[in-house]
Amino acid sequence: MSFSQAWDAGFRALLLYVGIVFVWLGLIEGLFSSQSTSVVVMNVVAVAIAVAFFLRARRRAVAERARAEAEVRALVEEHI
Amino acid sequence: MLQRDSSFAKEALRYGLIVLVLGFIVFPIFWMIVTSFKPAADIMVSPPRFLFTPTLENYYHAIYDKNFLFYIKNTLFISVASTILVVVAGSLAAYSFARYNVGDGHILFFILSTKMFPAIAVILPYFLIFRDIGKTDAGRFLGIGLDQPGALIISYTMFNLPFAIWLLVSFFQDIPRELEHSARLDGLSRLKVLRKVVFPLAAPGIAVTGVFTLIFCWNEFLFAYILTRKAASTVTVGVESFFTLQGILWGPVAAAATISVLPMMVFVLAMQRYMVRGLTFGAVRG
Amino acid sequence: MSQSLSVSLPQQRRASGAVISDRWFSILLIAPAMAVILVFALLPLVYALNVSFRFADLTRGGIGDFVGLDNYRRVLADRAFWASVGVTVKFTLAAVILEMVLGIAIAFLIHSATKGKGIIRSLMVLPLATSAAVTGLFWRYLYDTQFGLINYFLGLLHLPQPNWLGDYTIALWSVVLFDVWQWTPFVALIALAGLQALPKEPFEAAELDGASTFRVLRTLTFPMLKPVLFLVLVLRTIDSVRLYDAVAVLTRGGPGTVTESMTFYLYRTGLKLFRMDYASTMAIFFLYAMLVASLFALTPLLKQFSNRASEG
Repeated sequence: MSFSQAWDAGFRALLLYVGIVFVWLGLIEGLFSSQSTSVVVMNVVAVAIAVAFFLRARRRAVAERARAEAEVRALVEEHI
Repeated sequence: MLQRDSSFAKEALRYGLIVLVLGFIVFPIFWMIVTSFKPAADIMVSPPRFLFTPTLENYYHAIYDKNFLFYIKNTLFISVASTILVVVAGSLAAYSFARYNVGDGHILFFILSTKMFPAIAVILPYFLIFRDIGKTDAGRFLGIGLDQPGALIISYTMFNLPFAIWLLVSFFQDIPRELEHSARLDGLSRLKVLRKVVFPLAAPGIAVTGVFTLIFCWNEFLFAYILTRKAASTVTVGVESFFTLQGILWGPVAAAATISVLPMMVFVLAMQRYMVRGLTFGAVRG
Repeated sequence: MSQSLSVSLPQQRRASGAVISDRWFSILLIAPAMAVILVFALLPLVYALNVSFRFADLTRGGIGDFVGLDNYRRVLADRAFWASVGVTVKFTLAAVILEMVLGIAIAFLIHSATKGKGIIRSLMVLPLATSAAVTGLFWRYLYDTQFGLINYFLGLLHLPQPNWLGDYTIALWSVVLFDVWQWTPFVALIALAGLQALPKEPFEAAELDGASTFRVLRTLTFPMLKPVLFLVLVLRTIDSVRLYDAVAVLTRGGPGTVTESMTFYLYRTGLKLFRMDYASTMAIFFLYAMLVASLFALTPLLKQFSNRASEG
């Protein structure tokens, strides 16, 4: 995963985290009786989803790179 | 086109529609200019009067009683200064993005996304920041503070840079790279290439960017309204101030509005051909 | 993205014996612009973030204690906030759709005209040169129920004469109408430039094939205009969401709060009620929404850009 891709995925993951926090505060928090529990659960959920998003992007980037390298290798071998 | 009658009817219909559209577009401006020449007695009448003896009393009122040219002077200074800053900083940056692709698109994305920032969302921090800077000696010396031109110049520069860079990048991309390469091979330094080859070639694009920046600065309202009181107020705020004083004096308001709108309209008419090309951001080629 | 450039340059760099590398040169070029943008975009952002986590009622002495997410909770539960979001969405949808449809229609109309295009274009460009704050003010005179020209003309045609800015069912549409007046020419001019730049050959071929006008439009004209139209759409949407000037001069949010757009509510909360904490929180919401939107809107535009960068 290149720096550029990591930056992109990281930025999106951050936005995702913030988005989950907003939605939680607006819609879900009312279902909790205690506010501090809600905040803790909210952070756990948001971090988990954001990290999962980042890891998925990373896995995709790695897979794509492997595919590209395989293609190049195939081309080189054809030439020889 | 082969059958004469129906094509004539079509043409007539087409131009009829065009005249209708243009009427809708031009009429409010036309009526504003007409109203600015109306004597006070003919303005607040129902039904509206189309025939009247033109008078300059509204302009007298705007210029002498309300000192409206003062706002024009402020606006001119602030707009031109911001435009120069935007064009210089913007051209350098845009060239760098177009040729070297600095930051691999991420920095450009960041800059363009600041174009989406609503001015209102940052106006409160700006207000407080400029208030604090204005209290320091350096701020007072440079004229950066509330109700001082420096604050507006900085704000306008910041808010127009993203758009300017966006526009300029597309212009720089249209300049063939080969010219620069051969100039470099001739032993010119990169800065000389910029000055002698790139900027002259991009001059029309840079001019268009300057035109847009100048228009935006001239017409800006929110920053001017909140960051200035009197000393550094611009025309948009000036027109607004007419409005609240003694009820609604439409004559002087129209005169002031005409004075404030006219310079940009003349300017835009002169630059119109280039503007449309510039507005398409290179999305249209040829 | 940048491989093709960085490969081609090193030899020349050595040939001319430059003092600094291309990389540093390119960074120096963006430095002035970046300095301005970093300071004056990020500083307010950090400031707004800070205040959004605090109690800040300026009528009760400045910026106070840390309150965590309370401001966010309160704004999310605020009816008036959601009402202002609704107004902004309604305005944006109405104005952008009307401007796009009318603008494109006008572009086709002018494109087919044989004479006088220059004059038509010059007249169309006029509203763009004027400030919404100035002409909007004058539109109040046009909208006036007693002395306004619009109602006078409607009266001549024996049509109903609404109270444009005072009737709460139509005030928002009056603001939309003003925006349409100012910005439809912009859409039309750009669409027209796009139309005029279309290549001739495919259309001639289609005519030879006897394709219907509708089919030509659907399969040739609109797909080829798409990049331009998308750009206009993005630009118009950005501006409509930030609607402030027109509301400020035409209705000041009234009657009641029916034309209170999000930006105007933010302004009122911060600078009239002096609740800096709520205002900053709303600003953060706004910035967040714009960032997410820009991911979707700008990514295609930037892709277009980087394709051109690597092809050049």
